[in-house]
Order: sequence, then C-alpha cells, then structure tokens
Amino acid sequence: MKKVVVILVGIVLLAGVIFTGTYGVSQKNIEVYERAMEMQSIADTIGWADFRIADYPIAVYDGENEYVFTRSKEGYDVNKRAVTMNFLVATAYPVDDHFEVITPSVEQMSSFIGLASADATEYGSVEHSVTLWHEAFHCYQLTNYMEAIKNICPEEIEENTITLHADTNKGAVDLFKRQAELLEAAVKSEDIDRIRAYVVEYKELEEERNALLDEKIIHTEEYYERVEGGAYYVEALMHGEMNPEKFQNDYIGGISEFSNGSSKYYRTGMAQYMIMDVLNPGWKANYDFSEPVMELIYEELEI
Amino acid sequence: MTIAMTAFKEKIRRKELYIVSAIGILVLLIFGTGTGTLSIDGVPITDYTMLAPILLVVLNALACILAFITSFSTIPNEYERRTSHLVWIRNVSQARYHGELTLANILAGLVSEAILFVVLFIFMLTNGRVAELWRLIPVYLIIAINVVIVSTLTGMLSIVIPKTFAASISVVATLVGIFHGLLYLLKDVIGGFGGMLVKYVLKILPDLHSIQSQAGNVLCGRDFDIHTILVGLLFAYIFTVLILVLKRKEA
Amino acid sequence: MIVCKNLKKSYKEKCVVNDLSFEIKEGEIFAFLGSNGAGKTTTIKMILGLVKKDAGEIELAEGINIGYSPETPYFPPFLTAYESLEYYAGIQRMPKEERRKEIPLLLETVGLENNKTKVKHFSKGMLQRLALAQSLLGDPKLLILDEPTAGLDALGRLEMMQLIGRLRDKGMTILINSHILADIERICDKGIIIKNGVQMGTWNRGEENEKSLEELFLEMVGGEKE
Repeated sequence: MKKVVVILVGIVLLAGVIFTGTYGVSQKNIEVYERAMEMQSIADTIGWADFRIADYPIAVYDGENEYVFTRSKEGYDVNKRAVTMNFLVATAYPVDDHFEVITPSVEQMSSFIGLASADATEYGSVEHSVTLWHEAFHCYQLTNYMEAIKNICPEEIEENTITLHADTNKGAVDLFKRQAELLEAAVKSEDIDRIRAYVVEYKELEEERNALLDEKIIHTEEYYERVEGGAYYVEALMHGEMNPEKFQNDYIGGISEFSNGSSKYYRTGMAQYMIMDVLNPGWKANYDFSEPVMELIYEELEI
Repeated sequence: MTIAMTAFKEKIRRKELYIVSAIGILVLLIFGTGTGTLSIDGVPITDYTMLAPILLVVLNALACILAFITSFSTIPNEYERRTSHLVWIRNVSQARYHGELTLANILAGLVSEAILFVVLFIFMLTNGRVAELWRLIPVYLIIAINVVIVSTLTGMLSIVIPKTFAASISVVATLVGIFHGLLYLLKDVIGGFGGMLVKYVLKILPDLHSIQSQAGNVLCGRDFDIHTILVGLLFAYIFTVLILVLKRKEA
Repeated sequence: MIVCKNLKKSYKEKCVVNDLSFEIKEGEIFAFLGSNGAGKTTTIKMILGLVKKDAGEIELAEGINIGYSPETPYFPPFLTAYESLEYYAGIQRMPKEERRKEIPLLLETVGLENNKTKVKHFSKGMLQRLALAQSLLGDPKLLILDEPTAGLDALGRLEMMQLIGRLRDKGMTILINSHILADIERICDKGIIIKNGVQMGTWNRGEENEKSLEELFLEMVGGEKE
C-alpha cells in the first residue's frame, strides 16, 4: 500500500510538471509580442517617418532556441531556428540582409534584471514590450540611416572611452552634471523663454566641457546621445502611455541622474529629443540623424 | 518515528546550529537595516520593495547552507560510530532508518529556516507591512522546498558515497542551485565546452534560485509560476525515493 | 540454535574469516576465543547480518529473537539510561505497556535502576551494562555479546560474568566474543579458538581436558604462559 502511494505521488508530480511546462515559445512571450504590435498606434503619434515595429523580425531566445516572430498576411508567424547569437540583453542585430531585434525571453530578462539590480520593480510583459520598441527603433535607425550613424563617431565606439576617460575627468563630470540638470529643467518647463535660458547656459558649459575632452570622447558621447537617446526617447513615450507615473518619476525625473558609463547619455539624449518636440513638433518627419539634436535646438532658438 | 525524533533532538542540541543561525541573523540584519552598506551608484538602498527581495535571496542562501550543515554528516556518523548496528539487528529496514534520519535533517533545517524568518518578520513589521505578514506563511513553505531538496540530496549522496565526497558534491550542488540564475546566464558568455558543461550541469541540478524567486513573487504580491514549484517538489521526491531505495552493503 | 558452515570473509585482499564451522545449541554459552584481529567480531557481524559473508552458510533457528551487545556501544549522549532503553524499545516497536514493565526490570538487572545521569557522563562499565540491558529488550532467545567485559575492572568483570550466568540459567543461549580466557573458562560451556580468521581448535568444558583453556589457547594461538 505504501509503495502504491509513493508511486502515485510521483506520477501526480510528474504529470503536474509536464502539464504546467512550456513547450516552444511561452505564452508570455507571445503576449509581449502582441502587445508590442498593438502599441504601433502610440508610435504613429510620435512622428518618425515610416517607423513600424512589424517591419523588423523579433527573435526570442529562450536559452535553447530562437523563436522568430515575423509579419505575415494573417498577422504574424513564429518559426523556430538555431541560436544566432547568445545575448544577455535585447539588441538590434544584422541577420542576412536585414536587421532584427534579438532578445532573451521575458523570463530570462526578468531573471537577469533581478540578478543585476536590487530594484525589485517588476520586469514583466509591459517592460519587455517597451524594450522591443527600443530595439526596433535601432533597427529602424540602422536600416534607414546607417551612413549618418556611422559618421557620428569615426573612431571605434567603446564603453571604456566613457568609463576610463570621461567619467574620471572631474571637471568634465561636474560640468556634465550641471548640463543634465539644465536639460531636465528645460524638459519640465513649458515656458519657451525659460527653456532658452537653460539652453544658453547649456551651450556655454558645452564649450567649456569640450575643451577638457578629446574628440574621441566627444564623438562617443554624441553617438550615445543621438542614437541611444533616440531609442530611449521612443521607449519613454511608449512606456509613458501605459504608466504615466513611471514616465514622470523614472524617465523625466532621471534625466539629471549621474551614473558611470554610457547610460546617462541615453537620458540626456532623450531630453534633447523632448526639448526639440516642444520647439518644433514636426521635426522628426525629416530628421535623418546626420546632425546633433542640440544643434537643431540651437537653430530653433537662434542661439 | 523514534529514530527521527531522537536524531532531531540530538541536532537541536548542537551548538553549531545556533551559532550558524545567529551568524545568519546578523547577516540578514545587516542587509535589512539602515546599517547595511548596500547601494546602487552611491545611493543607499533602504526602500522595502528593494530590500525585501534581497533579504529573501540572502535568507534562501543561508537556509540552504544550514540545511546542508545539519544533513551532511547524519547518516555517515551513524555508521562511523556504529549506532547502525543496534538498529539493523532490530529488523529495521534501511529505508526506514535512512528515511527517519533524513526526516530529522529536514526538521532541523526547517527550524533553522524559521529562526531566519524571524528577521524577515521583524523587517516587515518595522516597515509597516503588518497587513502582508500572512504572506510569510506561503513564502516559508516555498523556501522550505529548497531546504527539503538540499537535505534529501545530501542525505541520498551520503548513503552511497564516502562522507567527504558526498559533502563536497552536495555543497557544490547547493551553491549551483543558489546561483542557478546567474550561471544560466553566464553559460552563454562562457561558450564552448565550458558553456556546454555548465548547461548540462544546470539541467540536472535543482534550481534553488528559481524557487526562491517564486517566494519573492509571493512576498511582493505578484503572480508565481507553479511549474517551478512543481519541478522543485519533483526533485525532492526523487531524492527522497532514492534515500528509501539506496542501500549500504554493510552496517 | 545456530549452525555455521565454512564461513569466509575478506576485506580487499585480506582474508579475515577463513572457513569457520561451528554449532551452538540451545541453552549453551558459547565462546569465540582469539587475539585482537582474529576475526571474532567479523564472524558475529556475519551472523547478525551486519556484514555480508563471501561464502558459507549460516542457519538460525526459525523466528529467533536476537539481542546484541557491541564491543563499543554508542548511545545518544543526551539520554538517560531509561530513555536509551525507551529509544531502542521504540525502534523495535515494543508496545508502551510492555516497555513500562520491562525497562525498570532490565535496569535493575544490570544495576542502573536509580541512575538519572545522562549517557555522556557514563563510565565505560556503565556503558557496557547499558549495552547489555538494551540487548535484553524483548526477551531474546539468543544473546550475542561482543567483549562484554572489555574495559571493566576485576569486580566489574566478575559481576558481568555472574549476570551472564544467571541469564543462561533462565534458558538463554549466549554467544560471547572475548579474549579474556579467565572469564570464558569461568562461565562458558564450549567455544572455538580462532587465529587470523582460521579455526585452530575447539574447547568443551564437558569433555575431559588434559590441558587448561589457557594452555590450549597458547598451543593453538601462540605466546607464552604467564
């Protein structure tokens, strides 16, 4: 009798494991993709010419295989393929003749963020959908404006350039912090005159700061602000539609937050895009990433 | 249950259990109070929603380590000091003998876990989370799955493998389980044969980290993944069955 | 009661029991005699099933209840004598009523009846007595005692052997493993002499012996008479 009970318990447990398991791409990742597609209506209001997430395949890596979501007549198809590249984070990556978003599954991303950060804020379906938009925007940039992007920084783009050189230059760091504060103030302001005053001071500091840094650092910073800043801007607006509180607290409230490495330029770059939206709402329709956004701001304000 | 209860009473009389639990409490208190030095980019972490999951990660690691400490020598010691002789001759099956000793290990591990949970209880109280204290019950039970996994794995190995090897394999398995998430991500970074080896080791060893993550989800009021918990229970079941099935040739 | 034929046991490449054969009849006190390392304890363990024999046969009387007192007994150190016997009685699933009657009697038999000390404070002699007491739980028909007087002083040894004699008088069959010849000669009926796992000879109190047990032992095992 005891043996029968033991065996039964094992069978029940095994059945439970089998029936609750996920085979193929998980439902959660399907939901993420579908939500991301639904967010196109938000993206259409942002103003980038012909930017559609559905134009770019999205490959979800679950640790074993990739599941590629591609647009089809019926909506979308999901096809399994061997792993292209093992990434710990989502990225835009060239595959054959096009760019794709390649991302770990939402479960893996959640696990990684839980390990890498003490922030217990849930990383779930909403956050991952927004991440897909961030990377899809990179696909858009690389597909349509590759040459302009390459020209931003003729030198090799390395994170070390920032962490070992820009972040260790105390004078440059202090000036950057003040510049970021000015950008945040400008984003939060609705008064054009005030915005102008902030931008004037910003420009003075920019000249002073550029004198302290060599060209490679300046170009690298510009690359991050223009390219990553743009994607972060898209991400912020998409996320903001679903979570206005997070938009204000984390995205807007975080512009002046200093951190070592390149992530601070995502925020300042985003701020530049947002300031430009106030000065010239339709500017993105013709923007080709060939000029710094700050230069466009100076032109608008005739500084 | 005579063997289990006597072995359990012997364990809870051991000073090591309380010394390690006290060290565990100290570690948890350091993390859980303002005296802790946790910070991100120079900003100290004091917020409950950020600290609670960290506390749970530390608590889980400590509970698993304590489960290992209370388990690794139990069965080997019985055979070394020949207590087993007076048990075997009484027609007690090895299944019953090893099973009851393992039960004592599990109970001692659960007592240690409960001691550590006092810190989490106080932490929630001092952070005004009185209405959520009830969550500690399911969270305790979920972490208890890890305690049972470590106890049964350690006990199972110690039946058939010499004590030192069994302890070494158990401690490695426990640490791999605690850091399963990190290792899973790193396997892609390592690449090549090393990456493959890590991948297969991770497949066969229990994922204590994922189970603890589910406890974290319950603690923070989020949805949890039943599949992960069932997999943990299945591992515990397999190790328990092996304890009942594996036999020593001689007392 | 027990019939053993051609018992063999080796550890790695060393043969520790080599072709032992003997028979123990009901009501006898039977002895294994030999120096340390002769193979006596290993033979006992084979009879008890604690160790697997490599060859040979062991026939035990059907349904026999065996009590065993090991050479170096270990008891949970935080228990008293009473609690220790409770523990072993619990393991062998003795009904509580029976335990309540039997345990005080056993403690009285071995002289530990008023002892409230925890086992961790017991002397060697007290441990030996407790070991004997636990071996008597459940009224076994066959008692196996491994070096029951080891570590005891002269008085302790005398008392132990007298106790064993009383048990035999109650009809118990007893197998004693010892290297103390004086004790064996005092109480045992017969025995076998073992050296390096080999049966060198037998000894029987009932038979007319020209030589003493000591002389017989020295002849078979070697060494000098004191």
